[in-house]
Amino acid sequence: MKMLLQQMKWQFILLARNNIISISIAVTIVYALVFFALEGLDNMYKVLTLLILNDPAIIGMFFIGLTVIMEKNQQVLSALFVTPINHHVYLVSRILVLSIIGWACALGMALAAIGPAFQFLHFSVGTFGICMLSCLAGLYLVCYTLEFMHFTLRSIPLLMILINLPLLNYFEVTDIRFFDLMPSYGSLSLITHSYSEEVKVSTLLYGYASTAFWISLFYRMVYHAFMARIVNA
Amino acid sequence: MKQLINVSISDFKLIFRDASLRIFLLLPGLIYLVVNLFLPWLASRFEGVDEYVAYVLVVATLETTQMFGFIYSMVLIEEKETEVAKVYGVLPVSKTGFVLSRLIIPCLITIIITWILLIIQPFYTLSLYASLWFSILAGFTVPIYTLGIAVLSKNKMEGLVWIKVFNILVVIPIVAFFVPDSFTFLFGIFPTYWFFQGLNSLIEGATFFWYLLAGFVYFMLLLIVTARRFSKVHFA
Repeated sequence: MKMLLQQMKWQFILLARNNIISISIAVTIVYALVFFALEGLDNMYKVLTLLILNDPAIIGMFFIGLTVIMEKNQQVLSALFVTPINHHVYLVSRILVLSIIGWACALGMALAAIGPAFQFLHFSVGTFGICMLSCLAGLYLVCYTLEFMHFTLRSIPLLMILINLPLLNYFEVTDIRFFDLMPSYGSLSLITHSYSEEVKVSTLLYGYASTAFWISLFYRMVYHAFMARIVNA
Repeated sequence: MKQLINVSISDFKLIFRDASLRIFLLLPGLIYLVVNLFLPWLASRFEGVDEYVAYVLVVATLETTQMFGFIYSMVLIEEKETEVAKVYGVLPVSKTGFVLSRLIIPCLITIIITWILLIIQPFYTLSLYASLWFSILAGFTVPIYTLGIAVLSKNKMEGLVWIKVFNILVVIPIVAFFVPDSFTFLFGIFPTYWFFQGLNSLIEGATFFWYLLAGFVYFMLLLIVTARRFSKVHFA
């Protein structure tokens, strides 16, 4: 636990040095100002959901991949893996730190857009779930390409499939049941139902269960790929 | 001049030597598909989409600029990281001229892509000349975007963070269409506001000249500032 907290501290420092934290705060402030400007807009909840699913997800997927690429290029990884650091600690610390940043940005946007009138727990689990899934997808991708441009190019379609397909049903462009089984659907459902006054317990349970299931599965896949292709490569 | 044109062409070829980057060339096709097929389908299927078509078109025109902005800013940051920029710095050519010459081809391609988009979109009949002027204005965003990111970023990670910021800055003036009229001009601080408002006026058949002029003046000033700043910091 101590090692995890220490790693998280260093990750926060690293991200702060690369301006990721300050710029994420600035971007959230810009979004907040836009939400104030658009006050009273009919589809505010939908705009908020769209931004939450994309902006914090981008933070997670892109920056976790870039962190690994940078560490690899600067020979940090090879040095790190001869220390007694646990590989789970390495992965979890990076995922948690970026998810915390993504969650904080999403929370800032929600407060600006709709005020405190939402279910904090459902919203937090939903946004954290999206951020963690995105981070895990980014980590999985980086196991297969450590070249910056390749990673960036491949992450765009991955992000669109992972995050945006379930949104098509949400925006009523499609009505495809398969999209409801996708990894990000559970988190999307928790976020959208955190604004609703009446929610079925079964819907919430499905949201929580789906989020937990996909994060566990993704983590397992990432860990195996990471060990095989980066640590033991 | 001939030397700079040669640099411009060879630089463009070098960038797309990496096969993975060629996929970016599909992006204009994707934008054409969205505007010419997907958007009309959406408008026919869902009520209320019609009133947003002009705004989608206005944003779509600037999306191609971001494609080249992304590629070239990453190339410039890599030059900085690998210290190749220092070698360029001792070449017997004007630094500003050298930098701008490298951005001429993406700028021209962006103008052509934007112009074709405005001509072939199925919703409005727009004047060819006026569309060309707006396409040229859209082309100006490529060097500003690219140089701005390259100046602000020390490495690719920072570059990606700034790209995220720049993407928002480019698109955010669209909000001006949805706020009360008295607040609209507050968005004038964002350079693309003048482009968006002007193009929307063209679509609506209203006067667009002053927006276009203000856009050109603003973009030229930004281009001069970013090019100068870039020449100072990039080759050092």
